[in-house]
Amino acid sequence: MKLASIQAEFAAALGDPAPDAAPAGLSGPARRRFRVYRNNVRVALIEALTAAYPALRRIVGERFFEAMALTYASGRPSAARTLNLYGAGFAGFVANFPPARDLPYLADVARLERAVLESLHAADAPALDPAALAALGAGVGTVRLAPHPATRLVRSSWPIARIWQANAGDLPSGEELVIAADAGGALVVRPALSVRVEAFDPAGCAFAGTLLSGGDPMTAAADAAALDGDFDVVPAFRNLLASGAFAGLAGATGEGAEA
Amino acid sequence: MPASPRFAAEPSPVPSRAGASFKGEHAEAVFGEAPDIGWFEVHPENYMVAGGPRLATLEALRGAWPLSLHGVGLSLGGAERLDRDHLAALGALAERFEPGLVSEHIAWSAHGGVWFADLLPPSLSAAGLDLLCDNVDEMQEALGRAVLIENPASYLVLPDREMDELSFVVEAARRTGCGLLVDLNNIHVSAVNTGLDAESYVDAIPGTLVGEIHLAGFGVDDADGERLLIDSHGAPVDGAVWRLYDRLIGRIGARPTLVEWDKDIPAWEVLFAEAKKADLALARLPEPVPA
Repeated sequence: MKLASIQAEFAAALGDPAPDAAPAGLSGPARRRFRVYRNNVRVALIEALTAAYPALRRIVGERFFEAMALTYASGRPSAARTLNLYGAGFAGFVANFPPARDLPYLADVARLERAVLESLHAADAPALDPAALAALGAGVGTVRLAPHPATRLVRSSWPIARIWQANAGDLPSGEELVIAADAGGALVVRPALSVRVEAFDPAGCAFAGTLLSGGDPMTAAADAAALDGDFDVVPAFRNLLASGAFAGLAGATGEGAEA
Repeated sequence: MPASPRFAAEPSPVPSRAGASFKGEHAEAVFGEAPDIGWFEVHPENYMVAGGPRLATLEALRGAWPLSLHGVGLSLGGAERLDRDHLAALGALAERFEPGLVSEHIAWSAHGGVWFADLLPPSLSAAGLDLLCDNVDEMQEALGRAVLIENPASYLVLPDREMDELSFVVEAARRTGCGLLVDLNNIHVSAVNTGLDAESYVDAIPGTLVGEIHLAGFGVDDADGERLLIDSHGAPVDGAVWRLYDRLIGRIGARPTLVEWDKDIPAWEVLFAEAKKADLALARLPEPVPA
């Protein structure tokens, strides 16, 4: 039997969902022992998802998560030679996973966890120094900013930042988690190489979203004010800059960072 | 095929003493305690990211200890050509971190555009040997240095087997100029699973080719009513593997020795204690006879 066909049969059997699948060229104990490789391949993908989606796993429980991850992984092998960013389609899969229908916010939490993973491994860049904006004087209203490569904005009608903090990070002590619709979204930033998730209300989300997609601060302030007449633009802008959400000044068109 | 290989293993800045797998979970302990350990090894695939804390941590680690890059993604035993993007990513890491040792497995791990994240059994045949040598040549050309190749843990014997594993890797080293990374846990696991004699395997390894030794723990699976050892890297090194280690270094002398631990990762102290056991075994060796 030729080497190339042995490996082709091996690969086909590794991808075969039948629990007793084995390469045709193997016989006797070798057929049984093939399951060690099948198991290793599955476990590697499930472990990658387990590491990337800790909040999801805590919300649905270990057994539910493993079953969901296995269903996802079964038809989706990795093309990349590392599993660092495996699971790009997992949030979309969760949204359409019938057993998870009772948790309408679950897919949005998955989108947030994906954004956290992407932020963690994104390229390094110095954060925009707020002094560079101060130097612009009145021109700051029409400046356009380039998002930091590690910045992501995830919009949701659920309080996903708080759900994430309660299940993957730490909910500020004494606070009760209330899950109600119309919450805005979450900003993911990576100041000083450490990923942080911040809750944003709908107006704050609109402000950050417009800036991150290349709109100028005047437009962003108007977008926020349309949702909240009392939106206070100065502290909102100062906080965004302090969180390292931007890498510098952009040209006429900025890069979007909407996750 | 060139008459003599272009690359030859050279003395490495990785010392002939114990090292450990570096795990992110241990970063605080490792940087806080600055333990007396010879070196660290990582899988380069885990650092194939654009930026962020992982690469920064590796930078700090490399600043304090010699480093070894131990690849799992190149699929040297695969029937398909090496993945150029992966080789380039490996080259970029090797250039940035200047590892003292670079190694890969003789296994295959990719086919038809899919990466299995597992080490699949290589064909121990003349065709498999030609293929492995071509791939090792390409890897060494790309990195501009000699590499080490590792023997896998075996669970079954493929139908095209024409030679024993040791003859296979020794011939590959002879042809390509690469060295051997001898994984003693894998030899023990393969010996139990496929009925080899681990001691005669270890006794026949040409010492001059050995650039590194791996030690690790295994798991036991008897689901089929037969005892199958699984190369889990999730347990302390077994007594049988320590005996193979004493036997090998007693004959060939000290080599950089890695204690691997990749699953059910214990506290740093536990892994460090295993590494210290290897250092003790190395320290017990008689002084080498001057050349």
